[in-house]
Amino acid sequence: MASTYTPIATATIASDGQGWDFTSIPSTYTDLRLVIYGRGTYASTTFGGYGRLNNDSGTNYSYTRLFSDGTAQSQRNNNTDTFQVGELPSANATTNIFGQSVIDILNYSNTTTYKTLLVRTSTPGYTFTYVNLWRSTAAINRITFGTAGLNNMKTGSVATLYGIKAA
Amino acid sequence: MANTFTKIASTTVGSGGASSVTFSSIPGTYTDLCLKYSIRNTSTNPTVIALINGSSSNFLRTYMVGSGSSVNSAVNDASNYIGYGSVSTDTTNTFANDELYISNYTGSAFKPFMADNVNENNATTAYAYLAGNLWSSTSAITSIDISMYGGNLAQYSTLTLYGIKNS
Repeated sequence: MASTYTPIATATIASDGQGWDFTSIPSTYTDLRLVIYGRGTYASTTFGGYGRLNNDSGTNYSYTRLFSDGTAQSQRNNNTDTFQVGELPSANATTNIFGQSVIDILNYSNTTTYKTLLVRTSTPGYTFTYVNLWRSTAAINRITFGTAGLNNMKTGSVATLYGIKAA
Repeated sequence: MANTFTKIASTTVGSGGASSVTFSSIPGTYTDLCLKYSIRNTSTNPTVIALINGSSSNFLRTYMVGSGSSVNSAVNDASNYIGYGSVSTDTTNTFANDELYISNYTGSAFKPFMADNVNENNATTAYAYLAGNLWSSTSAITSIDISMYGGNLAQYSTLTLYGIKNS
């Protein structure tokens, strides 16, 4: 059977405070999926998860989100300098609690269109769905992700980048 | 090349329906689990119920659900209700599509999982449901049982459990 869902790289946070940096992402897949199992180290119960593509720190991202913290609500933000996935558990959360986020990046290697990211995130006390846009026509070859400062992940957090082929 | 998104087991409910479907003896050889199902209740209650390792305890969910005319939401609801399926009064031949994604199901931390459900049926009421869930147990997940409140899973309901490896 042909494999159409292939792990490109997996990285486990080895010491508190690190983030993830997937570089040299091959362009041979159709879509990418980044699966996060994570918890932050920032001193709060939860903290937002953020990422950048190709190390672009310009205000080239925007998002619309639908989420609930007990009240269903929707928000959007333009011209942000990161893509966002919503809250992940952090240092003040109950021990043993990690959150999960699944980020689908469609048609990531094309050099004609801007890139869309679909996100689902589950953290105790929250549920999120996002659509993010990165206004660049560059092929995505690098993804950086973390919480406060794009790092600050807890030891034992794991991120896996999968490549998905349409054929 | 390794196939990393693998069917563990699949069930199609036969004539007469089934009170539940249980995936047991789930191997501990994967990183994550993904359960996809298309289900309908023989009664009029849309609630989908899960047991993990035979237990209905230690569940939390934060969810939002739209019915076409209203939105409801709750935070940290201590319930093993995991979504909305189709019901006996829905349009004939319609079955809800649901997915659970369970991260790090063999790990020693608590188990987060997200649930996405839809049951469009070209009628007055249908549901779109998103939830973040937590099963607060350090045990590895070895069985998952799915049923619907007050009835049986209708004939032709299908449930497939996949295992996902990150290497």
